[in-house]
Amino acid sequence: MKTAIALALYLSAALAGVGVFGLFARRNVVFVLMSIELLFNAAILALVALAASGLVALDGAAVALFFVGVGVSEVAVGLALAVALYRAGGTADITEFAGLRG
Amino acid sequence: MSPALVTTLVGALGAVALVAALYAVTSRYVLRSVLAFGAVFFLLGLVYMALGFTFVGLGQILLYVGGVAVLVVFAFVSALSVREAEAGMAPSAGVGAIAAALTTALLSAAFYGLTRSLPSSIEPVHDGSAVAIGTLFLTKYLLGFELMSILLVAALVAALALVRHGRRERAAEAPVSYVPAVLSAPPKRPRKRPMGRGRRRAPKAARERSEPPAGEAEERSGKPDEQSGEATAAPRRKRASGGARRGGGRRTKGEGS
Repeated sequence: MKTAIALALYLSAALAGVGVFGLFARRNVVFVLMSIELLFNAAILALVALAASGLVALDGAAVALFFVGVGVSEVAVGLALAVALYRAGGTADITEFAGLRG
Repeated sequence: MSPALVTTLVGALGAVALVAALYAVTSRYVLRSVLAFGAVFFLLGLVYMALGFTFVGLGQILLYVGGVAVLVVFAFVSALSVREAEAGMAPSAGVGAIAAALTTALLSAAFYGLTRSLPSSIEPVHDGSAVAIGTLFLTKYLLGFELMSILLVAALVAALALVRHGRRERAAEAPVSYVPAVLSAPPKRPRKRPMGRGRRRAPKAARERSEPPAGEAEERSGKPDEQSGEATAAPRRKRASGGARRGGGRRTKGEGS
């Protein structure tokens, strides 16, 4: 069981890395949003793994469910923002939103 | 489940999830990418189940696969269109690779220290059920649970408001009809005209010969059968040029009688 938990924790680290890469490498706003979701899921996986280890008992699972709820509501608002941005600028390319550049 | 089985399951599912995540982040195809994201969320839900937290895994699959992935597909189908250039990598991809490597390295180091401090024999969790977690939600985390419901409602309302607001602004600038132009009839056209056209068109040899203006001119005359001859084709076309004006005049006459 300890090996499984260690595996899950390393998987969480790798997923966080993939999420960070997507955050930088993607151009489309929606995929940047999904990369943030990947980071969220890495955190949730770490929480669940630690809950399974008994280190944080069942609280880890409860907080993980909170994380799922927060992540989903974030996607709902983020997608609406992406659609609004797309309507305002005619594109969803994140590199073209340079309106605040000095 | 035996610990060996749990380890195998977590390793296998996790490896597939990692590959799917890499594909989702690098793929140029929008739909495949979104589906790969959905696969990652689904596989992670299975990993939670393998670790003993069935309820968390089910919640993950229900909300992320059934909610997020479907919502993103819906957004792409309904509102967003992706140009070819947007599907590729951003200029900051190199920085992203370095940042990703750093993140993974730091987190792995932290988790390595954490796993070393774990006791060597851990019993698999058996109380990760809905009952135990639900009890926790209604006792220890009651405030957070209620706040979560408020957050979800607020997020829904905010999403609706953002989408609808943008639409209203655009409609104020230039009136855009969401009904296809074919379906929205111009208001000045009299009501019985489409029926007349339908009746006229069916039996005529003039159908393959006459252009749409000619057809409209013929309609306006109101006596379709007398005008089906080939000799009338040319006058009909001539009348079509002034069709709108005379049509309007005739309409008022028809309404008056």
